[in-house]
Amino acid sequence: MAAADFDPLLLDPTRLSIVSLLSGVQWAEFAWVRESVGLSASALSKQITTLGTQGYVDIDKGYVGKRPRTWLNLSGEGRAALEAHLGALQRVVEDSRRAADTYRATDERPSHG
Amino acid sequence: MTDRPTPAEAARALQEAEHRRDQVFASVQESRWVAVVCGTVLFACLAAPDFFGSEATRWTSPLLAVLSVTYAVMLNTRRGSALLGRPTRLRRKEIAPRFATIARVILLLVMAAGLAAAFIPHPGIPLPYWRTVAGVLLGGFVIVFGRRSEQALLAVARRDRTEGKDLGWAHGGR
Repeated sequence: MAAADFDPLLLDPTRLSIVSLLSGVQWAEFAWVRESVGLSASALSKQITTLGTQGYVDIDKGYVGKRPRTWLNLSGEGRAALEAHLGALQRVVEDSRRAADTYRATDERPSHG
Repeated sequence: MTDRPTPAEAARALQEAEHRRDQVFASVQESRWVAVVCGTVLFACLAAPDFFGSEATRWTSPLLAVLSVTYAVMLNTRRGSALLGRPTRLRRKEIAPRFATIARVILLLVMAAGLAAAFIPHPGIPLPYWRTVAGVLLGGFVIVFGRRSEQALLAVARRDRTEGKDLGWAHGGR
């Protein structure tokens, strides 16, 4: 399998966690993502900037009352990248499982002589 | 992880993605005060005719309708959700289509039953303060079990993993 099947940005486990989390929601508050992933605000901000630069995550800033809020959502591009990446990961696991099954079947074949 | 993950790394990454999806469902919940306010309003609207006469239904029904619409609108906006203490909004595609259909049918049946009760003459219930009792039961249920029942419903509503092929989650996916 070509390495091109994998999204280099999503090979990072933290970024994969963030994008997987956002894939289940229409939007999420920055603070909720930070708590869910267990990152500091600055570390998450850095990852979000990277994902935002690639167009994977849309960032919306606003106020609720006087308190500033940041909402994040996965863009169509980000969702497509995640699906392709998860598909590629799935294929790696399946190929490995198939190889193991084949090896087991060969190993269990009764030997003659 | 290198450019090409090993099968063990790939399996771990897939598990992590599934875990994050579980996390979304577990955290779809609003503030406790919302359940308390909803339960209290429900109680007040149901019990009002027992204390202020049947004239009270003239304002309780529109009040309930306005509050329901306001709540629905707030749930669908980022700022409204934030005010309700909901930091996220679940994606519709995450809900099993069968559950969504059943929920819509039940909602329509409840609305039809409400309309029928309002326009079709029916004998009154010979129990004094039955509306208050109903208000206490319904309002109390919303306050005590509202959040837990939402979580239980979400567990049922959740799209099965084998249904999620288009989401890239299903085993044996793309």
